[in-house]
Amino acid sequence: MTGIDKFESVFRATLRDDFKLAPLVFKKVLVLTDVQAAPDEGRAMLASATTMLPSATEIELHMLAMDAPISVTLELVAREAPDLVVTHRGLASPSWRQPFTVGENLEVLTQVAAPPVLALPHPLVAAPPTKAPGKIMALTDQLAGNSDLVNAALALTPDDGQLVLCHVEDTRSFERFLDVIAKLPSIDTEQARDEISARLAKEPTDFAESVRAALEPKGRKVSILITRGAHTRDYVELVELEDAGLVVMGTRDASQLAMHGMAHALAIELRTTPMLLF
Amino acid sequence: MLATLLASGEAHHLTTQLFFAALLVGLILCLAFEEKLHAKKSVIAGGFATLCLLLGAGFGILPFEPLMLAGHELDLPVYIPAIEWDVIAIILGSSLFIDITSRSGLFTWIAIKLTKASGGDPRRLLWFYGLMTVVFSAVLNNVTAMIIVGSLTAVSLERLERKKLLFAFLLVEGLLTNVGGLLTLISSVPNIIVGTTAGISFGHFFLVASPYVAVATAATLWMGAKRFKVPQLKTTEEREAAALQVAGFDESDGVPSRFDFWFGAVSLLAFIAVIAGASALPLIRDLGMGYVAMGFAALALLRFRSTADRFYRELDWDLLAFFCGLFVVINVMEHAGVLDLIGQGLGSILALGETTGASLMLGTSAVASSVTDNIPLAAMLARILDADPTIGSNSASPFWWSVVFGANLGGNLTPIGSASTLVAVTVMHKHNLTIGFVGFIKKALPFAVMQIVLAVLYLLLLGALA
Repeated sequence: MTGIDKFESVFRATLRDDFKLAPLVFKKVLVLTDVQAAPDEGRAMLASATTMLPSATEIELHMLAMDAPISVTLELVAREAPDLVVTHRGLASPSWRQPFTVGENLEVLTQVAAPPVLALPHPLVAAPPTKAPGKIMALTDQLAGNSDLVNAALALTPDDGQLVLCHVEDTRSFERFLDVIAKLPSIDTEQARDEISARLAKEPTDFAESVRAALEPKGRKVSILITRGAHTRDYVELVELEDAGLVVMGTRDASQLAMHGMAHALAIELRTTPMLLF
Repeated sequence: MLATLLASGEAHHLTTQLFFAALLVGLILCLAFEEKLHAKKSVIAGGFATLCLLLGAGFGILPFEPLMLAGHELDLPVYIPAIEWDVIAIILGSSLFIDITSRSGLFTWIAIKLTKASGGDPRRLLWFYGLMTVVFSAVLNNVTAMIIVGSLTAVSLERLERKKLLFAFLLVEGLLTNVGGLLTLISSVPNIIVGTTAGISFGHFFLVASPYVAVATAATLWMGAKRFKVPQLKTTEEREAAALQVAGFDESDGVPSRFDFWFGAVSLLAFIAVIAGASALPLIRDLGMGYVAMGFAALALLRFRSTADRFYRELDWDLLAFFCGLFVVINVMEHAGVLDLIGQGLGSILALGETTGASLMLGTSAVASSVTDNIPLAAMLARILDADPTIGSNSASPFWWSVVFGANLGGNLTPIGSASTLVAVTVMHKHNLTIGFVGFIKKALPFAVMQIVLAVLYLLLLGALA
């Protein structure tokens, strides 16, 4: 059995999920804001969306009432069926000033509405970007095989922009398992640490290299950042260190109703950084 | 009649023979029910060897006089010369060497290259994996070959979303390990035992066995594809999708370094070449194949000199200790006259001549090795044939081949008939494909019978050509 398991591991290790390029085009864009942010800020958001999405052919601005129920927002999105929703944190939410929430409208939008959501800072907290971002950071704790994330990030990366593929391995989980391994006499702890660590780094690295191999011949700049971290502040520091103009994260988790853990935390923390949440 | 026997002491001799024959039967039964006894082969054989030696000494049948070697008197314990050290050296050396070579990623690389070359087409994959099983069984040992191919099969069929075919693939591969095990003199332990006893060279063994292996492999694969309805991809879309799936395998991932890879490939080719030419190479001819195997293992270990102990730990010490115990038991049986007794029993088969007798011997060996370990069977029959003045002096006798074919192919009749089919069943169970003893026989019997019938026909053809 040991031999069978050993060779199955060897063969599984040779399996690679290379990047599959499937370009996303956001043609129809729905810009959502609330009356509190209008009218100048609304126009600024429209301009921002136009700048960030040069391929968009149809950009529509909708003003929501401050007390607009979420059902109205969802109905509007369902009716318009845009390729992308552009909005801001604290959309139609009385708690928009609070730094502890992104607002119920935005939160539900990212989980229920079909199109991805580009969340800009609240117009009264920070002005919407006036130019396309130079660095777009695809940020995740599961980069290997995550072609959707890269394709989404790529859709908002200008031709002269830089796509940063960032994988953050969870240190806490790693250390917790290592602690257990350290108590198992049948497993060599140091060997386990080295091999698991190397394997955890290899898979996202291989995938990121396949992204690079697919995109660099097309003139796209791709940089790779494989690191470890545990806390939200580690992620925030990475975003600040890279000076990312846009952060792209997956928010949907089939096993839960709430937004994916770290995406939710970062959406709250990165109050002035635009985020594409899909 | 009885009075005459008693008077001549033959009755006493017969009692001794029957007593030790009962011990031999006990050993064979214990080995057959190894799993039920929860005991390793080495412990069973070691226990019986200890008991046989003690009883052999008690019955006064063991030769305790010193050995004479080149005019020198050697005072060795009686159980030391009882062991066939050349066989042990071949098994120890080649296991060590193959384990080192497999660390080079060579076999993984070949396996993945073939998977990709199949384009993910199930029918083509079955043929490629079947051929790979045969070649790996010939070069490695059957168990290692089955582990490599079986585990790759599970992973690749999962990748291709064709896990329903896993049973068919594993069964066919398991059956082919014993066909591949016939290809060379060092492909399986019965081959080593019978070949070295008969004095068959590596090259001659290969020349005789390879046509049969080619035909039996093709027939097994054809039959497997038909019986289990292994499909062939028809549309371009299907082929493209499957090719994309298998393209995800990266053969270079299993290769630790280019140097190790080429070191493994070159040393393996050199090993096969030297083993093949051992009977013709001066000095090597005298030193024997055991020396070649041990020598190559020592050379390969130089590459991993600082971590050599890891390879020693990986050795199948159970198998090696089992052989030592088994050889001791057989040696005691020889002194007790048990082998003569079995030889007399087999005399009626031998008397039928090289056509009918050899065919019957093949069938009998196959049935016997299907329910018990083929190694003691081969070891015992090899000693008996060697003791026959006509057969023992003729390495071309078809009786040798009937034991080789029977002992190898008999393993395909039942799931416990050979270690490699047991590995195939283990992989099945690991992937929740439960199959019982009778269920296995029902599925495997048509294949095993076809292979045995082909072997009998081949022996007859060889006899006619001779």
